[in-house]
Amino acid sequence: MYTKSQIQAVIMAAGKGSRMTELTAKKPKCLLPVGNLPMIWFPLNLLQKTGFQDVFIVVLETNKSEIQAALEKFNLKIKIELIGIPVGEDWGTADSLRYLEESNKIKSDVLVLSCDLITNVNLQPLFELFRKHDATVAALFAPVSNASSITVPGPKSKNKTEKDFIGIEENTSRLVFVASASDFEEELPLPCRLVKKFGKIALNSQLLDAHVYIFARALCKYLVLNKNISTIKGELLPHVVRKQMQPKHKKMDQDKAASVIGVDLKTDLQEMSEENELILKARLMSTFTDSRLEPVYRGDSLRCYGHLADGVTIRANSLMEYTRVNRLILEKWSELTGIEGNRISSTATISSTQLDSDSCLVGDKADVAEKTSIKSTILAPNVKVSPKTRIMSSVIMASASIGVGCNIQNCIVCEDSVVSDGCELKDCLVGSHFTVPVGGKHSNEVLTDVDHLMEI
Amino acid sequence: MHKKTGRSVVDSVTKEDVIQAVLIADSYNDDLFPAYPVPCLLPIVNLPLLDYTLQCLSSAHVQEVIIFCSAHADSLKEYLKGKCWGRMSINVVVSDGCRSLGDAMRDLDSKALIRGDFILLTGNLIGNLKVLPALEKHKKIQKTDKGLAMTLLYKECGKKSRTEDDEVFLAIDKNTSQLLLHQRCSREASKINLPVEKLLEHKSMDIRCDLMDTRVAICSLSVPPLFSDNFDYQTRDDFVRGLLMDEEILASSVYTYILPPTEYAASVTSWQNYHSISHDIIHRWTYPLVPDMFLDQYYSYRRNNIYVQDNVTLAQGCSLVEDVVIGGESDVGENTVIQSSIIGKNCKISEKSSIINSHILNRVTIEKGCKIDYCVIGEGCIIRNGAQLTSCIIGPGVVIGRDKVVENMRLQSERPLGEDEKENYGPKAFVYQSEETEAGSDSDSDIYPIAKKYYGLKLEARADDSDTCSESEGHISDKESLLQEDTNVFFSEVVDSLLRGYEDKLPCDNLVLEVNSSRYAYNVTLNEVNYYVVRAILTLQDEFKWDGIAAKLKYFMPLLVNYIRNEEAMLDSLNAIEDVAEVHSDFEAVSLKLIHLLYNKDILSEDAILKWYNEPRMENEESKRLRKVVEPFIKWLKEADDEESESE
Repeated sequence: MYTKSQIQAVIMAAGKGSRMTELTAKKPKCLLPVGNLPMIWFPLNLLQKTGFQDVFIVVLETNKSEIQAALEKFNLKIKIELIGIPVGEDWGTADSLRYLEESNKIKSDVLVLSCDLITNVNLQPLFELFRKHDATVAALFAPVSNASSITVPGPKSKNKTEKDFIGIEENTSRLVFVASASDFEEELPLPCRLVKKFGKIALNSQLLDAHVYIFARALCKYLVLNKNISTIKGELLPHVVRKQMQPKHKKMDQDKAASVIGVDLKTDLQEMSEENELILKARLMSTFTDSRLEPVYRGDSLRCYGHLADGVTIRANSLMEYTRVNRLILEKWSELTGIEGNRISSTATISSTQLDSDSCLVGDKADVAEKTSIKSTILAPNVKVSPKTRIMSSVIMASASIGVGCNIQNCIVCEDSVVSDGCELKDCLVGSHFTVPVGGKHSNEVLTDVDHLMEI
Repeated sequence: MHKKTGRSVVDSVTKEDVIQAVLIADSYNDDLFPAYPVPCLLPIVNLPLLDYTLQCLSSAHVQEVIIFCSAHADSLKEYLKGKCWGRMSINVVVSDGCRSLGDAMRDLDSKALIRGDFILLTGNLIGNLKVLPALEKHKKIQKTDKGLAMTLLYKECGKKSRTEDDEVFLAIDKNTSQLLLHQRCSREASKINLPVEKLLEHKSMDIRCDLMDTRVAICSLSVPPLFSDNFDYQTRDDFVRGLLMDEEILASSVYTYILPPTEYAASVTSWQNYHSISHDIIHRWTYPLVPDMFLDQYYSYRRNNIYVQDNVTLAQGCSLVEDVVIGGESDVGENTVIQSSIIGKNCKISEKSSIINSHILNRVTIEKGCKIDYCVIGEGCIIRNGAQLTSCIIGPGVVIGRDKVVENMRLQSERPLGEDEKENYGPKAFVYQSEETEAGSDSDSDIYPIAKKYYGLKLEARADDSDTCSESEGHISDKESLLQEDTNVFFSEVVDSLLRGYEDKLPCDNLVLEVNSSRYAYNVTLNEVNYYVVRAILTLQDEFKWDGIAAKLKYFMPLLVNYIRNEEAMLDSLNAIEDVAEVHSDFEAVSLKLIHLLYNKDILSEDAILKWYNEPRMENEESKRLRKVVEPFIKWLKEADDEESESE
């Protein structure tokens, strides 16, 4: 069924949302609503738009049925197969990929993306880059969106975004260096020979790794043989990028060394990505070159590429990014979802005249009473808003109800929670099934069952 | 088009002030000795270096040049007399005490000759660059960054045209082109250490080593005072490094300007780049500064980059292969081959000689059948019949005797003072003594060691990058790098820790902690830890002399006691010894002593040694050889054992 030129898609959706535990207590991360759509809908939509016909989604076994049920609502044309991570296993992304390879699900090169990716980027150039250069890895990078800083609901804390150092040789788009900024304190040691080899490297600290990777099949096989690699971003990618620099061994040495040290040769990545002699010959005769004075690809059989994409790309993996993406989706609704109009559900009952329909999203059967003022807010299905209430820049999740005379600003109110009459909430996060008592005044707080948080 | 923009730039600049250039005529070293007495008047493609520099400045619309010199001031003035450079005025400033560029700048500061931004360059620049766009950019940056002190001019280049000394690593801000890091390449350093803070501050930076330093810089008025304030700055490199290091204290910054591909600039700083730059001239990269465009001498330009002046006699059968320049009134004899070489004026080259990759200055006589390869031959030299010169720099007036073979030498015509040297190479040929090396060590006059910086013309093929890399990353030889990455990294970390521990005399307890943390970081099994710790200790030294190993072992003994606790661990360490011996054959010799010592210190038990001896992991040459070496010890062990049992 799969030809070699095809690419399979895998979405990693088993993340627990450890950077936003307040929200993910009762709900898997990939189902958190972004603009009244579950987060995972966005990568699925992206794949569907790109032309994929089927996809594997890696989820936790415990959440499998919930996710299955949630996805069935959306009539997606793409064929979905959910892969559950067994209970009790703590698999990283690379572990999951290895599992797919081991269970013979992977037949060709794979596109791996994360469930928290929300973007309007066109993936086509990435595929082209991968195919054109017969790459081992191609990864997508986007500029970090540093739009005006926003206040994150909940207690004030320093929101340190994780930064990566990404080194790309710009003429050829070769990805030559990947490291996480937090691994270094004062100095970043860069190997001299790396710079010598490529001459000029653009080292960037403001790029977002979109966690969109295309891996060659050989790499999946390599994963099977190397069980100690457990995450893609943290281990596999830096490992492969570093491997590019490794000099080739001579065949003679290998045989000898193998007998001496007893290394299983097949575990060597360089060996695995060794290119067909015919291809090498063809390349030698071709006039194509990517560097003026060096042999094509600088003689590397292992090649990583990085594509820099313009456009909006957000990974909603932390509370801050989640807040940001919900803000952004209101601004760029049709751009990010591809859905025209339809911001206010037809089944919603809106009695208010002060609902700014251009800056709000209202879900099915939401009930907004008269004399309310609502701006830049997402109202999920079945939300009930009582009269004399003002809501600004907030996210109200499904079936929450807001009492009379409330004032809610820049808050996230989780599903099935109740904000009682006369509450004033500013920069707060209301946990699911929580009831904010009458007349409560809170700012910069997380309002949730304490016991419940302890469980996590 | 170009002219037009240039002109408009001129107008905007000239209205404010006169464009000044400060030209440092001295090189402050003797890298280019002894071929010509005055370094900046050294002819390159038959024209003095200074000529190129001044022509370049004059066509770049510089109006005032201040030439700074300490030595050779008279010959410089003599040379400049009667020459005219358009609207450009030239002042020669003589300052006797100058020993470096730093001194010159301090002198400049005290003399207060500078009125505004100026161009700083050395007297050996060859190029056709336009300085004004760089100056303009400098002024533009000055408006946003008040601390701007210097804009360095760089030219993109390939790897091959540079010597190792010219290589430099730069980190440049992509948007502003501010220089953030400047590090000369050295063989020892394998890493460039980029400050993380700067990386985060500047969104993206280019890390480059494909740039060549033109040694031209645009300086702000603040540069001479900065040199005065920091009297330890001797060279421009010192200055740049100091500014980058104390960016906050000095409140000064350095920017870069990369020349457009149409412009050429390079400075002659060594014989290697003398050679490559002269070829660039012949290949017309420096147009209009090419031989057939020189005003005072007429060259005809022929196919294959051959330039011949008037009144040159080319005898029958002589062949000028390619890239050849021959000055006026010179004779070339029958069947002589000249390739990639420059011949000065009034030279006599007799028949059947071959001159390849060489530079022959004026009035040189080369007799029959000489072979000259990669040489520079000074004015008025005589090379007698059949001499063979390879990779030599020969000063003026030297006479090389018949059939002499000379290689890798610097020769001068005068006998060095106080030296009683025989005339090894000819009646007037003495080894040139570099002042710098003389001060260091007494050199053997017969086999003169080549000074550190001197390589001759030839650009040696550098050690293959892939070779150096495996060494630089934690002394891992090729064979070892086959190991899996993690253990590999673990091993190199252990080596690093131990090396540092040994050098700083850290207590072994701390090292144990370090090794353990690396162990958990890389998920290495206990067996592997034992193996690699022993191996690391043994590979710390380059030479396998017993003294060195014993000293290290003594120091690391607590470490060994900590790790080598049971028989299995002992076997691991013996295996490590075996593997090291296999890779480094000279280690084999000391392995007997080593095992003995470890036995005496109760690190290795008798049983373990015997077990290891009797059950080799694999049957091969090396393991047999090693076992043969340690055989006496095993014998002794067994005998001791027997005696013990007997005495019981």
